[in-house]
Amino acid sequence: VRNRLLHPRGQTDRGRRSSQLSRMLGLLTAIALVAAACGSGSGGEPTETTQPTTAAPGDDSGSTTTASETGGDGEGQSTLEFIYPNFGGGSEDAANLAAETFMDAYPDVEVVPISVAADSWGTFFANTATVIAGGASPDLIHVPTEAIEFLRVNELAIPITPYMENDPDMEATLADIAPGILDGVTASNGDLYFIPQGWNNMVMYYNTARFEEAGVEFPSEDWTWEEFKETARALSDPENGQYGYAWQDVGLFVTLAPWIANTGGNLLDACEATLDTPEMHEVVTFMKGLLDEGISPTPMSAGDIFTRFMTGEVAMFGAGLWPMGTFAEPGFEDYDVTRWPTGSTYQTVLGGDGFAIMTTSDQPDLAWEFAKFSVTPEVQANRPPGGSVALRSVAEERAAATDVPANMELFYRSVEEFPVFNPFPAPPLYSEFEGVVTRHLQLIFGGEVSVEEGLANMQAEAVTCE
Amino acid sequence: LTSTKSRKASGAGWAATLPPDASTQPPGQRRWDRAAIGFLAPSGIGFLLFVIFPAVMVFGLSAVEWNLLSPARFVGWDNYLRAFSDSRLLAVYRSTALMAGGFVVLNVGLALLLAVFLETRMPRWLSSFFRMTFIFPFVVSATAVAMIWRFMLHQDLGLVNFYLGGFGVDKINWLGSSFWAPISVVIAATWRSIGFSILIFIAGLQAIPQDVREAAMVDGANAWTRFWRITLPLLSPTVLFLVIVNTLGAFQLFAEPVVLTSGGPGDASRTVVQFMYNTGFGSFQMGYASAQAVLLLAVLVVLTFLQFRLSKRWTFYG
Repeated sequence: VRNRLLHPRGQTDRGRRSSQLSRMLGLLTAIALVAAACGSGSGGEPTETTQPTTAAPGDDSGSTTTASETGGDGEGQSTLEFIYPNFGGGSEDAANLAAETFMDAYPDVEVVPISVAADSWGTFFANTATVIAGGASPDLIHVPTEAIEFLRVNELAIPITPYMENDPDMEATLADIAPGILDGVTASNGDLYFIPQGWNNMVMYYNTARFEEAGVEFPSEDWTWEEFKETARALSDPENGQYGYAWQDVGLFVTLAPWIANTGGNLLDACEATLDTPEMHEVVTFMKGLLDEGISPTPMSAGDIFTRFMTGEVAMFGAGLWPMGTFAEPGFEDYDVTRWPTGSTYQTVLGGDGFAIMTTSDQPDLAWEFAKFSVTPEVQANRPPGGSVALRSVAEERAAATDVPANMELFYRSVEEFPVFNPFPAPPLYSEFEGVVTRHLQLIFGGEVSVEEGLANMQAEAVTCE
Repeated sequence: LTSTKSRKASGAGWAATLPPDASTQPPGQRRWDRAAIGFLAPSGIGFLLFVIFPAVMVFGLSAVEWNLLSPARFVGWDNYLRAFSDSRLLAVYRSTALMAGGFVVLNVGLALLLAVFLETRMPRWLSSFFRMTFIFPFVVSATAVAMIWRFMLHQDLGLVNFYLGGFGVDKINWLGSSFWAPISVVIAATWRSIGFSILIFIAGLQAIPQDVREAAMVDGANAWTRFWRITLPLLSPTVLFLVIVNTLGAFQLFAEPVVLTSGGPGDASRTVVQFMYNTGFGSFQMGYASAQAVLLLAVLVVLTFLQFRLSKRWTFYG
C-alpha cells in the first residue's frame, strides 16, 4: 500500500517527478493567488466614489471632495487600516463595530482593523512597534494619552491641528466637547494628535454597603486629604481584613497622578523628571502613612482591588470609568463615586484615547474622515455601556439613563468645572519612566528605603529628556 | 555518545551512514530517504524558521542600535561593553542565580521525594491519582498560576497569611519584601513545574531493575540503604537531566516574576529574561536587549558544560 501511494502505477521515475513538480508549482500558484486576493484589500469592480468627505488640511474652502480624491486606490474602493489594542473582552467587537459603522456610511471604503494583543498600553506600544517594524503601514492607530509624546518624538503620527482648524464639520463637534478633554490630550508642543473619542478622569469609588455597615457618612465632593484619611480610618479593621483605601501596584495614572495633581506638582516639567520635589515628598509620605497605619493594604493589581471592593474588604479606590463593566457583570451595584480629595488645589486627572493618523499613511485625508467619524453622535451613542464618550450631549443622555453609580454625571461635570492636570506625565519612553517610578515606590512602600532616599534614587535614575 | 565515538574510531564518522554515491543506493533505500526527509521537513523547517533564523538575527542585532522605528546604526561591540558595565544587569543576574538555585534544589529535591513516595509507598490507584494531580499545574498557563498565587500571597488579604496567622505567625510580606519576593517566585514556579520532574523521576524509578533491589534485600539492606546505595546512584542520570533542564528553565522564568512581583521590590525578583524584555520592549533598545540575549546564551552554555563536566563525579550509568 505504501509503495502504491509513493509510486502510482504506470509512472516512470522521470514522469513521476515531473508530475510532482507540476502539482507543487500548481499548489504554490494557488497559495500565491489566495494570498494576493486576501492581501489586496479591495474587492469587486472599481466604482466611482460619491461619498462626500472633507477638504484637505490647510484648505479652508470647505468644499467637499470624494473618497477617491482623498487617497486610496485612486479610482476604485479605498482601504483603510487601523491598529487597535486587543485587551480581550469587547475590544475586538468595538473595533469591528467602528469599522462597520464607517463602512455603512462610506460604502466605497473598506476598513480593516488590525488587532494587536496587549494587556496594558505599555505592551500595546511594544507590540505595535514590532508590528510596524515588521512592515505593516496602517493608516491609523488607536492610542491613549500616554502615547502622544512617543508618537510625536518618533514622528509616527501627524498633528491633526490643521484638520481641526479647517474642517467645517469640526465647529459643531468642538462645541460639544468639554475644553478640558481636549486639554488633557494635547501634546507638550501644543498640537493635537487625535480627537478623543473616549476618555477617563480619576474619581474615588466607594462601597456604599461598607459605609453603611461601618456607620460612616458618604463623602462629600469637596472633602480634603485629612477628611479622606479619617473616613478611610473609620472603615479600616486590619485584624479582620478590612481596609479603607487601596491602590494599584503599577500605573502612574491611577497610583500617583491624582494625588500629585492636587498638590499642584507634577512628575515631569516639560520632559525633565521632577520626582524629588516637596510635592512628591508630601504625596509619598501620605501614602506610606496610610500603609503604616493599617488604613491601606499593600498595593495590589487592579483586578484584585475590584474583587476586594465587591467583597467589602476594600472600601475605596480610585479609577476612571473602566471598573463599571467589571461590576456590572455580577450585578454589583453597592457603590457610588465622588471627587478625588482636594489638596492645596484641585485638578481633574484625565486621559483620553482616539485615532491618530500615521505618518506613513498615503491617504491621510481619508484617515481623518475616519478619526472624525468616531466622534459623531451616532458613533458615540453606540459605545459600550459604561464606556466614556467625548460629546457632552451624548454623555448627559447616558448619565441620565444610568442608575448606578448615582453620581455618574460627576465624570463629565468635573471636567467642565475644574482645570485638567496638564501636561499629563507622558514622556516619550513612558514604560521606562513608569518602570523606574514603580521600582522605587515598591522599595519605599515595602519599608526598605526611606521616602527621602527612595525619591532621590528615583530622580537620579529617571531618563526623560534625550 | 558511545556510538558516535565508535563511528569516529572506525574513521568514517556520520558519513559512514550515508552511501558514497546515491546512484549506487538501492531504489528502495532512496524512497525511504525521501520519505524520511518529508517527515522531518515540518519540524526541520519550523526549527530553522523559529529557532536558527531568530538566533542568527539576534547576533546581528546585538551589534546595532535600533529602536524598532528608526534605521539601525552599527555600533560594533558597544552593546556588550555596556552590558559588562551595567550594574543593574549584574544585580539582576545575582537575583536570577539565587532564584535559579532555590528553584532547582526545591524542584529536584522535592520531586525525588514525592516520586519515591508515590512509587514505593502508595497503592497503585492512589498513586495514579496523585501523579495526575501533580502534573495538572504544569499544563495550566504560567500566568494563570501566578495570578492565583498573587491573590493568595497578598500580605494583608491573602489566604496564606490568614492561615499562618492561625498558628501565631506574623504577616509575611511575600510579594513586597526583598527577602520574601524571590522566595515567592520560587514557590510559585516550583508548584507549577514539579509535576514534570516527578513524572521523569517515576520513569527513572520504573527503569531500575527489580532484581537489583531484591538482591539488596536478600543481602539485608534496609529501605534507607537501598535508597542511597541502589536507587539514587541508578537515578543519577535522571537527576542530571532534571538539574540541567530546570536550571535552563529557571534562568528563563518570566511569567511568575512579572505577574507576582513585577520583578520587585527594586530588582529583587527580576530575572534576566524579564530585564531583557524591559530593555527591548519597554525602552525600545533592541540592540542592547539582543546583546543581553547573546550573553545569557553564553552563560547557559557555560553552565551546562560545567554541569556535564562535574556530573562525571557523581553520575552512574550502570
